Amino acid sequence: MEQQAKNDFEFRGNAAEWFGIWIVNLLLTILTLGIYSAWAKVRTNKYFYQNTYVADRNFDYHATGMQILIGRIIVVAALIVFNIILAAAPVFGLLLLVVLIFAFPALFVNAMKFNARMTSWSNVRFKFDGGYGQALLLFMVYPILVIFTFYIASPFLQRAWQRYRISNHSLGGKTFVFDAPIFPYYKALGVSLLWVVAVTLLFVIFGWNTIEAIFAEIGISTSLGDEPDSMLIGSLFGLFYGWVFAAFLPALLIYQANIYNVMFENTVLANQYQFAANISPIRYVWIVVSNLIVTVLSLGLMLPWAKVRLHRYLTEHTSVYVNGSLDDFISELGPEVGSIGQGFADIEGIDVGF
Amino acid sequence: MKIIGRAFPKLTSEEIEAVLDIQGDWADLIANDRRRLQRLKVSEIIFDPPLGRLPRRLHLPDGTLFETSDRAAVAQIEGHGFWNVLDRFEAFRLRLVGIVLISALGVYAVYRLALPILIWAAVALTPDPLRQAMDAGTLRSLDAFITEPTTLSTEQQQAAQKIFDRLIVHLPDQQQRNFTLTFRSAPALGPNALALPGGTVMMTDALVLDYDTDVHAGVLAHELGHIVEDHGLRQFYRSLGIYVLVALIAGDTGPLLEDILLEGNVLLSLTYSRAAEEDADDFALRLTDIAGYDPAGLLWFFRTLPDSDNTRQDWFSTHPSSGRRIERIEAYLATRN
Repeated sequence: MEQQAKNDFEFRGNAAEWFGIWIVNLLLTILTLGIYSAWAKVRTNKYFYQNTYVADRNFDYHATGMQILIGRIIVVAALIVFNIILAAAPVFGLLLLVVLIFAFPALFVNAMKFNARMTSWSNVRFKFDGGYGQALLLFMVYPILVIFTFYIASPFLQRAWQRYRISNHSLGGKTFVFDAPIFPYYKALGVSLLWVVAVTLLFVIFGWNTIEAIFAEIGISTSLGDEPDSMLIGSLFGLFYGWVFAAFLPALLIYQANIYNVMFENTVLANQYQFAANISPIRYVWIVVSNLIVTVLSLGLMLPWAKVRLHRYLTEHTSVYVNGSLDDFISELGPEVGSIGQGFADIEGIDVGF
Repeated sequence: MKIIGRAFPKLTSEEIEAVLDIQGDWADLIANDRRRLQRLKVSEIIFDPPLGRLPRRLHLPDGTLFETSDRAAVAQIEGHGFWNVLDRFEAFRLRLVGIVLISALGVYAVYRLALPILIWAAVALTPDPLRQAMDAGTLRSLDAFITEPTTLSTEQQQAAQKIFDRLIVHLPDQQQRNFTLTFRSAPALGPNALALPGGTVMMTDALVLDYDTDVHAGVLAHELGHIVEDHGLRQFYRSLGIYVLVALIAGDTGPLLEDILLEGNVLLSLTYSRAAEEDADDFALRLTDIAGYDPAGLLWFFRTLPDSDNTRQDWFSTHPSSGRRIERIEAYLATRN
């Protein structure tokens, strides 16, 4: 066994500094009627990428504001043209919708390529080589197949997605390899389901008196032809929202945290660099929920603090075991990739982060 | 002047501890082992914009990246441009308070001016087929969960249809659309009516059976008011617009908050909805008056609703309490006489 050095990812930025950059971004975006938001995006990414270090070397984001802006303008223009056609000739518009459905995976692949190319670590660019056919299967075919299994096979889809995204990335000629067994995915799903069941049981046990009173009342009022008491209806809705919030949102976050760990633990770069992550699901839920509360109570002013806090937690619980030199990555010069796909991803809010 | 840092030759991750030695217009890049790597013109260096306390990144003419933490030294050889001014404003100092206040004003202006303009534009751009599709979709989901086929006789339906048509005839030309009236049995909704953005109005059987012509006219006119003023569509675009504007202005809001902004938005829409109800009431009073019905019909309707004297739930509900609406209608009737 060769000696492997563990290198933690670290984040060297801080909330106060990021606040200044964020608020100036916000002001300039408003003053320029949104145009500056393209440059704000670049500055945001640069701040977070450049402050993220591993083995004392940082990441960087190289897209320019103008590239982002042009991509967004093209996408907005295309959407407007599409709407006009839909209004003028609905039949032709439907045909166009079919075209758009098939164009969607292509735009996604393009966005991934653009993002990878614009991202570097230690002066070396990433590269994405995912194909259209595979993306089409992942977007359009597999999700339908999963429905036929009553979603029992959905962990396989999740894994296929991660494999597609990671294994098609390379850094300076070295390829990322993702290979995970299926069990951890079912385990992650099981843990989240367990949470939902446990919280539901707690609600039924402790809220039983209220639920019983509500149903009794509704039964009486409908038999008398009366409207049920609105106060009780209110508490029923309160109980319902409380249950949704306490049962499903944390379950989703717990699942995300577990999947994050699975993703890194099964990723290897060029047989030399093994990734690892140890996000604690409970701690992750705590950070996300308390971030939300603090952000809302501060009318959004603590948003920069919340973002830095979450980013720091995620980076500092991710690491890579390095076996060999970090100096022999060399950028491959691929063809230039346009930012249209990225513009589309921006507008549609698709997350294409690695 | 010597700037200490590290150099990465073009396209590689090879890291070389190095010094950039500046002498007037020229500079030497010298490795720590005293090798001279290159000689270059200072004017040909491309400076990455400064960003917080991050190391400065200098792109040398041959593609080498030079990174240094000596921000003061870089400032001396760099010209002054937009990004340097910006960098100073971004610093965490007292004057940020001023920027925060101006930003708060800006956000308020966006909310009061830009959002309504966006909603107006989106409503104007929504093609009729899309509105029809929304109506059909909403009716389908209502039929799946809440409503059942009507039990009204053809005569009862025709009577309501006659009132509906008479109201529409009295609408000015620019408010005309493809209005349709449909009936459903819906015990869960009580005596009620519903307006959809494409021009469809749905009446529950209870409303038709339990009330007389003037009440029908009042309620139907109220629903027509919602359609003519595009209340439903506006509400939809309002939620969507807030989400888009927050994403554009504040950037990524992180997990959870993003979902809440997109799907939630309930509290914000409450006040709007209340104003819309009162708008539709006013619209109904005028329309019933012109069409020759008794505007007091709407008043009778609210008086017979079970919670007519109940103002407690005003704050929580999307509809203003009937009590308050009754007062408004009484005020209208008083000015009319």
